[in-house]
Amino acid sequence: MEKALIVSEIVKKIRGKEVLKNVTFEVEKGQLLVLLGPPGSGKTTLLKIIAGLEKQDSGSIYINGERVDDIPPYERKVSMVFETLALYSNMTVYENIASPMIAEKKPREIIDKKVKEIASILRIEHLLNRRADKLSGGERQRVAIARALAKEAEIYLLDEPFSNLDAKIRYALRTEFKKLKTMLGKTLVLATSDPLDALALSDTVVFIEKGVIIQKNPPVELYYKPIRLDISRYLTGKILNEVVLKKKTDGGKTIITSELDVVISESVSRDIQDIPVENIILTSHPDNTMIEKSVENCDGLKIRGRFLGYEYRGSEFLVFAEYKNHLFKALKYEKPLVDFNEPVDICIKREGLNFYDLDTGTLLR
Amino acid sequence: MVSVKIDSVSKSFGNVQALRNVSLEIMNGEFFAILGPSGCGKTTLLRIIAGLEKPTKGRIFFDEIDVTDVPAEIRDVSMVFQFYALYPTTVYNNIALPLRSKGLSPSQVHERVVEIAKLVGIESILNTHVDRISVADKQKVALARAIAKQPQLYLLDEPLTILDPVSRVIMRAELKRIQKELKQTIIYVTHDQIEALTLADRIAVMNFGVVEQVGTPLQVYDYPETVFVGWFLGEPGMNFIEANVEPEVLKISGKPVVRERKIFEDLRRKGYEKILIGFRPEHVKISKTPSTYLNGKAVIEGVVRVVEFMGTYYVVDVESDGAEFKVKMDPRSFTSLSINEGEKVWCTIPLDKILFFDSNNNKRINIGGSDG
Repeated sequence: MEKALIVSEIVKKIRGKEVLKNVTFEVEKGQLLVLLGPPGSGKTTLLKIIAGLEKQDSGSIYINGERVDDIPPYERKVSMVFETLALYSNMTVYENIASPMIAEKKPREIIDKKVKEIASILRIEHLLNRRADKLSGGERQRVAIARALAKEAEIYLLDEPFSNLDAKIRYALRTEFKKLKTMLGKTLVLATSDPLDALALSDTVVFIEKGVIIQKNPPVELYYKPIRLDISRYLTGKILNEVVLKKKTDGGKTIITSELDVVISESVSRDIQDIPVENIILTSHPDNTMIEKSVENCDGLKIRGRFLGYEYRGSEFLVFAEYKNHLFKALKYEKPLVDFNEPVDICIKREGLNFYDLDTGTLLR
Repeated sequence: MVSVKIDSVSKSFGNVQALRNVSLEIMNGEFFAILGPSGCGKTTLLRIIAGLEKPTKGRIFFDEIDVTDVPAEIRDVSMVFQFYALYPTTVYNNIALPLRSKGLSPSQVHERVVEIAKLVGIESILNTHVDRISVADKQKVALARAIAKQPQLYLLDEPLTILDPVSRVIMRAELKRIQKELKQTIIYVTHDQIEALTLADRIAVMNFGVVEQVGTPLQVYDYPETVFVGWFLGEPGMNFIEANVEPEVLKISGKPVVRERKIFEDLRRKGYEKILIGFRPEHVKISKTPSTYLNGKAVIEGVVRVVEFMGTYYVVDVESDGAEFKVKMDPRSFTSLSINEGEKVWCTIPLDKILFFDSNNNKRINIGGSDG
């Protein structure tokens, strides 16, 4: 596969502090790569370096195989949308989207065709004659994306393009954005701190923290096998189930204990036998967990807890149970018929369990 | 405990009309949620019920007594806001203050403080200064103080928003339990559909100052009265596709999808030529092999445009000759079917999961008298 972008060993210091530490990754042509990380992880700085708006201290950027470190931003063939949306407020939406193409001295009919094509995918055709200062937040966001994508570029860089939008609009815009990417076949790098943006949109997710790339995977792999416990927690927004186990060997026999009085199935015991650390934390998603009055054959971890309630989410129920101040969550498609405080079995299935070292947070299995 | 009647209430702030002719009846002991996006007028409505705002038009009744002109302080309501405001003293004093102002003796105050603290689950921190307790506990103290007032009505404005997800779940369960024990009327304002669907006995869904629908959580989710309610509830919301009502069939983009005589005959009798069909993304079954007409089911042929992985589920966007809709799938079904963008698919939807809407006024059309 041809590489549209290569980021090679980028180091950047700001006021003496290293904000990017040897960052390296590649993006294939037509792919959407999401840089995911908490605020302050260096995502925006990295995008600016790719765009040529900031200079790295060392390392190189290659666009379509060409090293662009000494090429000014306007000659790099990149287009960038910032979190702060700067539209020309005295111009119409049409003029805003057309502006980069007018600057590129494109023929009028080509500009017209392109503006209409992008406006149609982003569903802003009805706004084309409206002035930019008369737009709502969601509309401004769409126009800013449209303008960035109207520009002829090899790579499109987007910094938190869906921030400050309410959940419903964000949802809709994400889909339209992904469609746009598929239909136009563009290469995109999108920076976000929202895991759902990363999971829903990307071909590849690069998880970045404090200027270091921690993990790079397709979204499904990242979601199911994060290499660190904190990434897993970050991705799942606290709906992760966690159980701490202690492993001890006594006279050749392995003893597994837990303050949660867990009943461990034979298969999971065998899994743990092979693990070389003493303090283990097991995690699982709510869709691999059951909370029922009684679970007979639980291949995994079974805990007797009390039922706390559920969230009715329309198409499903997120069920909650508690034991010794630990909260457990399970996804269910029928309404749970259990009363508040009633004892329940919590079965965290072996399928989908991840094993982490409690002390270092690294994935063991 | 009190019943509340809101009768044709409107409210304007300058040129902005925040509420338009809102009428609601909230029953004695009911947990009633007012749900809507920001700016829909829900907080204004709550403030009018509390007496903190005067309606421009319309009346408010508590137990059939007109309280529209009764000042807030004698309406006997307790409000709990998103941001708690506590007195800078101990938890105990915060709860005791409203009791002391009622003229209770010190021993009565003590007895009641302990009782309420137990109910809310903060008896272990009674002597702690509020500056040293967690956010969740602060919100519990705010609630305890509201209970101490022994009001006839509780008004809660997004009280759980600032809590972390775990505390929110526990507080939700506690709130429901407390309401059951106190048997009090609660009006709860929120923009969070999960909160409303989970907690409320009934929900009023609002948009642009108008009540779009009032119903139980199941009614508003399964049988939305308007396109807005269908779209607003659910993640993702309900799909709406334009369909033509033809003599023997309902067509989407020129292709037949529904052949049930009862449906198109009724629609035609009512004079509809174009309608919107609404269905929830989770009610669509996707297949990669052709599905022909099935009794009791609608079949839509289409192409997968976008696949989005949302962690606990997938959303598949299907396009059928310009019409688009979303399909929600659990990860297991998605993986076993293995769908790719650009692939042709056949989508079936049980007819009892399809609703019909008037494309002019966006309201649901009642087919054959059935009404959820």
